[in-house]
Amino acid sequence: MTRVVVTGVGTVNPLARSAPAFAEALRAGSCAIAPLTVFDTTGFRSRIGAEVPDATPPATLPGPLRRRISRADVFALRAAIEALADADLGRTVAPERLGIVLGGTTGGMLRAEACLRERMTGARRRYRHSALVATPVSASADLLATVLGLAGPRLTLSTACSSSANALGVALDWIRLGYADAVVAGGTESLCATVFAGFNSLHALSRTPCRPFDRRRDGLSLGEGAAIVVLESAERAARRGARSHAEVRAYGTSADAHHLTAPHPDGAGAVLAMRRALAQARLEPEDVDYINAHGTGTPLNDAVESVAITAVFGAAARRLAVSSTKAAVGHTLGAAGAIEAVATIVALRDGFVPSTVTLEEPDEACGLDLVRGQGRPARLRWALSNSYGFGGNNTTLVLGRA
Amino acid sequence: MPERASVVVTGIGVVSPLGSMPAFWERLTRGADGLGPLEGCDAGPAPPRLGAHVREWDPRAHVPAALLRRMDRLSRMIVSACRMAVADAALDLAGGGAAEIGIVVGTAYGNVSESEQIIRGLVTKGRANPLTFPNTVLNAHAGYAAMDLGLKGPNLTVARGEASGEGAVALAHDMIAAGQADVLLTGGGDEIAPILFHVFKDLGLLSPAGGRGGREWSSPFDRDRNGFVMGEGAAILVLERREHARVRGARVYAELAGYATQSVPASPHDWPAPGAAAPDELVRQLAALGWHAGRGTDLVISGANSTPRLDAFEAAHLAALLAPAAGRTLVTSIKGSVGEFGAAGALAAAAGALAIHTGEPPRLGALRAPDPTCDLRLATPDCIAPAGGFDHALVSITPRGGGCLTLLLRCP
Repeated sequence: MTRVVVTGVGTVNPLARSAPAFAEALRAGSCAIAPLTVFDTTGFRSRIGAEVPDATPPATLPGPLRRRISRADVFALRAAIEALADADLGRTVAPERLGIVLGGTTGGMLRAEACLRERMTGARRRYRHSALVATPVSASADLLATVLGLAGPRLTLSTACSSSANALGVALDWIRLGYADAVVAGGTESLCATVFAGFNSLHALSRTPCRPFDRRRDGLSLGEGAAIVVLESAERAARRGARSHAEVRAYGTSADAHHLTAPHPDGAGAVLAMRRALAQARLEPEDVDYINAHGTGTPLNDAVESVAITAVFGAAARRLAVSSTKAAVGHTLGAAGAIEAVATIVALRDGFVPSTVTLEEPDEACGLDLVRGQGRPARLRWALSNSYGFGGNNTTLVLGRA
Repeated sequence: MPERASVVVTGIGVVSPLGSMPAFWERLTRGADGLGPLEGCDAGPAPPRLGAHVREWDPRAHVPAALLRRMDRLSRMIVSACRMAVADAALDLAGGGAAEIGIVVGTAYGNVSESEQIIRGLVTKGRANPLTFPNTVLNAHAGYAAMDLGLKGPNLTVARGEASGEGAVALAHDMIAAGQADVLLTGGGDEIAPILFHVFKDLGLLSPAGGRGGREWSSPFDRDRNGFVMGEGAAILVLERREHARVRGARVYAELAGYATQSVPASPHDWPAPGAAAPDELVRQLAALGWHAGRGTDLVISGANSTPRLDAFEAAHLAALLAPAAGRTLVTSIKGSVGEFGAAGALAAAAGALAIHTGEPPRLGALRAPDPTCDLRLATPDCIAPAGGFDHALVSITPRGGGCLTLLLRCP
């Protein structure tokens, strides 16, 4: 089995505008959930979320593109520029051997909403198509491929909240299958009114910053941002003297085949994803030290995920650390898998367990070692990152210390 | 070198403007089209006012009523196609057989009509409909397919613009090659929706483009082509590891040998200019899969969509890809028959497998005067199928953004 490592990381998220700053904020136990300003939340049950404070496109981008690209495109581009600079591939990889696979769910929806509003209210007679060309969720990968010269295989996955976890999994397969020498993989998501109103209508949003695994948890907080990693084989990384942040060992993916939005009550799909991931990684449950949980903060998700973890890990469940970094950056939907993978990667690299920063009264019914407060120093060997999405799909990544 | 998984196509299900199987294939090879008056888009009296809507399709014949009630229209199309493909492949999903089977679907825009309604509700009433919101997630159809058929394997949805169908089939091939599954349903679907119509119209992409006259039609590679006609539909293929198919004695339409990709310089939001790059990388990757121009009797199903720009690109691109056999290799497109939509490539992939299986090509039924700059042997309405059938079918797509992809199907 070819070892695949992360040689570059980049992120733009509500907590930080770079990967080093993100690692620092995770250690410090910061929370970025606050009143939203990116759209009007008047009349909604909840009025908070986690926003990226600055969505300015990189100064190097040509003018016409600066006007066309979406907020999600900006996050992806900035995170990818950081990740590629960090990987410092130089001329070691031919452009056609450099792939890109991203995950996302709503693409340029925020601008599409504004365009539709203008036309409906009569402010304009036609759509501003220059503002709509970047609406499809696939636009970010096309932008990054063309602007950054990533001329290898290109793909966008949209599996709701597991999108970018799957993107990392596909990138891993591509390296192992020899389709690319290096792959830029990750996810991006921008807040938009449609999704906020949708979750609000489902009574899934909390009025206070989400509290995953807390006894009093009552819903999630939405967020936005991007995270990008550069993957390549450990052999290639060693040959060119690159630093490895962590290993991407395996992924497991499954469907609940149960309900479009509610998880299976026994967590059957989540169990299947974790078991498939461990089997592909050739690891035993005892080998795992930390799980970065999906942990949205809805009563049902966290209960079912706890049941699933207990089912997979049995007695070992009590000695592995569990946390949800959604308490810090919100639920970033299509970017969540990648942002949480980066949180896990820096935890493995720097030797600490990020906490669930808003957790005050751990839900005893979960039966897990729930990390709270400022996080804790720990030398981790293997970690899982869980991501579950609408449509009933579940993905677990297995990440390891380099 | 990459591992090579031998992957075969053992089932096909189609919901399209030409109907379902077997009518879809009979009409496509005859060069018939599914174009008619555009419905539900407030098109107005002046062109463009044509669309290629799905027809001869009753989802109640395929999907149980309890699930059907909750599903959006695109999900109904895709799940119907899944049901047809599973039946066609004689896959036994009972007794836990579905637990290891997955699905990989491509869609460019997903359930865009209900997404638009939600935004309208937001603007007018300040709230979203909790009953329709879950259906607007881009992968709703794959979730419904899993629920309907009990599929607990990988459940992935791919968006890749006009290459969404081909992109899904390519990823499904990867998943089987990587050992993530032995059997996958794959393909895709997209639907006609008002917002897409108005945006494409305002962009001047629809026939007759920008009101510059000429008749409203869809005729890829024609000298007088003047824009695309919006279409919709879904196609699902059953892809299976060859050994798995052999053990269960499945009928095999074609082998999916693999795919090749190349990024051609383009704006991220437009098709590349004709001749933007030689297809060197595609040639190299196809050669690694064992394909060489002129070494057999081949068919190319191009993504040419009757727009002046894309068809000119495809003509030059394919002439270079097929050299020195460009004059001998039959080239066609299905978009004169089914219109243009994100996942049309799922139908093209199905057509590629059927062409290998039957030896017949889809014909360019609308073609009157081939573009004189197009140096290809086109599948004219009266063209004769090769006596010995096809050795290979290449499904070639160039989406906006320049991420070219070519699927390679071959005789099993």
